[in-house]
Amino acid sequence: MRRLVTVLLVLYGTVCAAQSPLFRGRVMPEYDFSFNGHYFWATPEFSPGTVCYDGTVYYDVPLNINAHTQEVLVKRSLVESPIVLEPSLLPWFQLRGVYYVNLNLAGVSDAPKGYFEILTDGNQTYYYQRQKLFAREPGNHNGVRGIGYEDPDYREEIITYFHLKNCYYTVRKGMFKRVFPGKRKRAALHAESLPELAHVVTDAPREIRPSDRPAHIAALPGLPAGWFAAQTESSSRAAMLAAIEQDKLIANYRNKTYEIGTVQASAGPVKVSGVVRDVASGEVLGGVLVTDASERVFCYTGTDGKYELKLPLGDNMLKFREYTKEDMDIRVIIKDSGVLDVVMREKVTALKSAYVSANSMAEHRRTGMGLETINSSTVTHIPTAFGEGDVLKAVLTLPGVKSVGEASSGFNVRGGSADQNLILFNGGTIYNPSHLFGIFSAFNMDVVDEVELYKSSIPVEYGGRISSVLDISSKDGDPERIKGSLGLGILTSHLAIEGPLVKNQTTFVLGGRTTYSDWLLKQLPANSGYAGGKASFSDVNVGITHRFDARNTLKLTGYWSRDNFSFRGDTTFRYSNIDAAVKWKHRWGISNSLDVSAGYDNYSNTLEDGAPGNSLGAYTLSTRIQQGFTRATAKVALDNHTITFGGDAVLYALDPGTVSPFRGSLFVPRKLDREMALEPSVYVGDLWQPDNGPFSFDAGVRYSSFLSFPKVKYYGAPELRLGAKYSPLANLSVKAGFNTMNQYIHLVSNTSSISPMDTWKLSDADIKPQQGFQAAGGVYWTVFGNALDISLEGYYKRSYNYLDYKSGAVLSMNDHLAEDLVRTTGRSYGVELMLRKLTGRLTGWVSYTWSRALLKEMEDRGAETINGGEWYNAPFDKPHDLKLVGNYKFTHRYSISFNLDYSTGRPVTVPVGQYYYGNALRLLYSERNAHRIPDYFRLDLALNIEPGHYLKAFTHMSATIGCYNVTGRKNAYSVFYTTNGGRIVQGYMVSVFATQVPYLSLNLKF
Amino acid sequence: MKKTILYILLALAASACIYPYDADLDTEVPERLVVAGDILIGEQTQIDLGYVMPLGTNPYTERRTPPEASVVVENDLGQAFRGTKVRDGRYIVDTENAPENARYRLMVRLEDNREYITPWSGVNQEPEIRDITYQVNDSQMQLFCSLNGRDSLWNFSWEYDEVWEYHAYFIPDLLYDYQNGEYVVQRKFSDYYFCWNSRSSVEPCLATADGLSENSVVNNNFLNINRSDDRLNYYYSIQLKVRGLSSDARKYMEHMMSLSNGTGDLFTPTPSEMRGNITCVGNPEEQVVGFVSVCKRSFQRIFIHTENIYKCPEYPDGLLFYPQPDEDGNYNLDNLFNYSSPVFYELPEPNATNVRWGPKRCVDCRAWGGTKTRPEWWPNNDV
Repeated sequence: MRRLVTVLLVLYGTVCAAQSPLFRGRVMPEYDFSFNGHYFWATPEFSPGTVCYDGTVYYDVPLNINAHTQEVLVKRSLVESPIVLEPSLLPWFQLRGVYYVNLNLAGVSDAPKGYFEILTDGNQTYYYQRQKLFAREPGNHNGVRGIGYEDPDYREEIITYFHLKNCYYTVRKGMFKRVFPGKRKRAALHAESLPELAHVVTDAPREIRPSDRPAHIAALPGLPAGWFAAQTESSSRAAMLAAIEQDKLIANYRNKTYEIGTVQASAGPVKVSGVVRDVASGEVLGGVLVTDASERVFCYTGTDGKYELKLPLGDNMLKFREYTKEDMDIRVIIKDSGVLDVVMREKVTALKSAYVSANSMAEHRRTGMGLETINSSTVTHIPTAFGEGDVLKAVLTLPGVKSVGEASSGFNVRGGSADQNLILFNGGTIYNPSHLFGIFSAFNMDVVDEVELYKSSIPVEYGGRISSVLDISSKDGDPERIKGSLGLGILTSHLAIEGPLVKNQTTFVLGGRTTYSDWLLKQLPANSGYAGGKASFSDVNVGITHRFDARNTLKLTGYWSRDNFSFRGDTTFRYSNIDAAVKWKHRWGISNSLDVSAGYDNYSNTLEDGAPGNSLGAYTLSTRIQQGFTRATAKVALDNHTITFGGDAVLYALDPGTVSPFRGSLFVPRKLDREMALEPSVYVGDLWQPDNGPFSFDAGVRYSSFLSFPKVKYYGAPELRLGAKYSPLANLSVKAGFNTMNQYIHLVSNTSSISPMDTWKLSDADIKPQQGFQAAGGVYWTVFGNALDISLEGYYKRSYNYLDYKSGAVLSMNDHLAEDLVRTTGRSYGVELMLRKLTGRLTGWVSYTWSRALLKEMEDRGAETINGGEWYNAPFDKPHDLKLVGNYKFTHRYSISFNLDYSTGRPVTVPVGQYYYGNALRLLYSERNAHRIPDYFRLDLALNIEPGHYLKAFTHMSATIGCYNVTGRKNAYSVFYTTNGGRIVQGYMVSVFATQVPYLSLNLKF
Repeated sequence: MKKTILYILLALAASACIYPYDADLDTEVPERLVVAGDILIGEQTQIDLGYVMPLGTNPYTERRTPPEASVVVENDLGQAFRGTKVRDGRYIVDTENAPENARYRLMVRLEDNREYITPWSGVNQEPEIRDITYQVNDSQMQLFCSLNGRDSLWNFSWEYDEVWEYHAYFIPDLLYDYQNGEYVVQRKFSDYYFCWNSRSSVEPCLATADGLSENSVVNNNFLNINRSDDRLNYYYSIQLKVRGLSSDARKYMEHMMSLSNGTGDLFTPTPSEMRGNITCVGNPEEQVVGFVSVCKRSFQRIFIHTENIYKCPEYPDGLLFYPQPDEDGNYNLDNLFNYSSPVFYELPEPNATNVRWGPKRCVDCRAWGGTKTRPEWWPNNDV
């Protein structure tokens, strides 16, 4: 109890501290230069000190000084990332018994920026500054503006000034140099000409010690009277603002305060707008998040780089966040409507803090819940079995996402089956997201830009699946120059090239992957038992983006993949995805947009059974889904409302099965009737944030309909999407959501995992649409200076008409498939706790999920009803699930990643009895999924070596050396039983990665 | 499909392994009656009754069967054929002369008066066995069969009986008389040279002509025998016993076999019990294991001279040895007798130093598990 009270008090203190102006500054990325010294004034340790900030004196604040940037850093606690204080608001501070002063704010306008230690020898006052400069000049590695890697080696330069007769002098090489006031008046004086300062340059200098009392110092010349008293806000601001040019506000450096509007308006809120550009290229930047200090008011810049916020009058902070750019925080004083253009700097490669910071607090800005966003950088740092960055494996590290096995296709979200996930790649539907049965995902990380997984609060523009939406988008090509990357792994290689077709107007990106597993299998000796097998895959991505102007962009994307595998040459399996899409993006105003897209998807699989000696029975069995789609979504911002509306339509053509005999085969050509259907939907939603207050609401309705033909059957139903958020504090939000979904296409399978030979089935008169709803609620708390996100979500889901199968069902080439299927209802619920650390050397997340996923047959079929009509475990029901994903950065270049995964074993159906039938021993099985395989545990480690920082170099090599399953635990992939030809019962456990799997992955960027 | 995926996964992930697994289940088994066998018209019908046993029990020694039962095959002509118990759980019903043009059903009554019946069913006409052929490759002899279906039965099930004649490696010139401690010269040692052995299939073979242009199964590779297998030592024979099945029966048998053959993997159907065609009269909800068809079977046997196909797995001459004296220079031939037999003598007077001995299997075919009983229908007479 006492410990609990202590924890609560600490947390309360943290929340309170988060509201203090002192800690609202920019979080400093923690560059660690421990191998090359440090950039702090004296020591990297933070010590309690006193600081006068923005007119208020704070005591016992952990302080330190960045001697390189001449900035003061504060920490709310010793475990958090430091926050950079605004120099223009900080006239003085005291640290370790020494007073420091900002001479600029003391009236010495042409003094060097930064802080000076105040020392005295009893008579003379000295102003002592320690500067840490780069040992080498920063390289101009990234274009003409010279923003690139800064060499972490420092040299130290000490500047000591002293004050005499209203002038400031420095001593260099035995000469006094009068440096202030007025550099033009600088004059060199011989030491002898100032006998009273002779001791400064003598060999035996007098003891110089810190000044002990502010009053004493204040009495000294050079500082205004009352300097060390708490100052009024107006006086310090006034002095500060006087130094700022007001002609044209272009904020190119964060440590200034800008005044917006020249005449004080009578009442707010007023519009603050501007354009965000890249500092190097001058290009406008779209997609930049712009928020105020509270982060409740926010918008994203359009493709023309424009933003617009409605903000109250007075002090505020504008925060600009974009993944690839350094964070920009600008202090503003808003008097009236005005314009503030901003430039942002490129984030230096390998520094992820900027990205992380952009993600911070995101949960408090969204009304919806259950959205998980992963960018390609995170994906590539999560260890995988063969070292290749894998979107699906990364998704599986998120709470609420599970799979039935570590090398299985598909994933399960919050108790939903794998086919209840809508997987979109550039808007096209991917029906089989895996290569080689799940060892690799179907997505090439070279071209993937961002991955969004909606676990609940699915936006109205998405539909067609009842569990989740995984939206993967590919990146645009580089508009400036040709770039590329090449990756070599143990089993795969990948190559990507991007660049301009027409500079700054039309870009392309082209990526491909292939495997040499085929070749490896051929190298196996004949007596290995595996010789003669084939397993290969390839995929190709292509994208062309044309920018007509700042408002209009057209993007063409294409994706092709194929898998091909056989064993001992008797049977060959193939499957392939083809997707092509075109998307037109139109932006107008500040936050208005229209996206129109259309495309074609094709998924086909083929089984060739041409066993030697059985040419008379050789045949090909193939299935195919084709779909054409079109979507149009508009978003219009009206005051506090953001209206989303539009429609989409999907035209399905599904060939459930075609048997084609080989020449000479006795097989009769046979084709099941093609199933066709049209699934049009319209939707409208409103995101409403009343007066930028703590409440926001998201309400939407989507009417989805489904018309199958030629046997006409119509289904239609509205789907609700409701969400609400209450943010009593900037860093604390409470959310709730409710949504209903319909699904008209079903995966027909009797296996636990998606199999290449599974087929899909459209709803018809016999197969009703799947329906489901989810109610969810959550609490989100960001603490420790935006460094740690804590979230707790709970959900309850129901689904209806999910298809299970009867015992002995024939699912392939079945004219009467519905007769072999049964409808089930699903029920799942759970809670997900997640802690995500976003800044510092150590980043990552830990999550724990407790959940259940159960199914029950909806009809009573007497003795044949599955498990007697009672609830039974879904194949992916794993009640306990603990995941830990992290990255610890030693330096810019070196980091280690780790991934820990524990979960309850999945349910299985195992034999409980045996009997003789004829001459053979047979097995009697338990009720469906009544038992579980052993619990799953795995730890992976990887050492990441990022490319060198000389970005001007033509190539950059990165490498990952890792080990999958470090503990070598023999996790059960599956459990099966056999009677060994009807003689004796034996259980077996397959462990795919039964020992440590080391890997090396090399990536070359050029 | 499942095996293909599994093998490739194992091959790709060099670390993959399959381990024996014991789920250590503590589950009570429902008492479930098993009725195995088909009503065979034109021959004797064998019906086996038993119960499902817990997984941990020894199926050979702890087999459970109903103590007493009445097994009757009856037809819609009013005839009843009563079964005779030949051992625990096994009943033989003489249906050899049962008419083909009737509908039949099986009735089983247990000691506690629970009664089980199958639905009335006509006789599945026997398929035609078009031929049984074989091919020999480097490592195996492959056996194929071609079948023609009858009527509307496009599904086939067959068992086979194998009989083979084989010989030992050597015809010995001498035997060692253990009683008298001396070698005995024999001139008719072929009594130990040729033997016969037999085996019946454990699992029925299933095939279907569903989806084919004709009701036939052509060149179905149903058995592969390694060329070093004893069965191919000299002379081999196999007899197919084929019956036609309804779709339901074939589906049931396929399902039952798949449940005992590695089902439960990620890429195979989740195991689930399927209901057969046997119903408890008093309690239709009671689940009974088994599917009883009414069939007529066809038979065909072939013989193959396999002497040239056989690849001896060992070098017989290398197995022979001369007895070695002990430290005192004595030859303890009596000790060798139980394990070995003399083969040759190289001098007119056999003694311990000039007679090579060999393992019994080299000279006594019975050591391979066969018998000297030649089937009366066996065409070859090498005795």
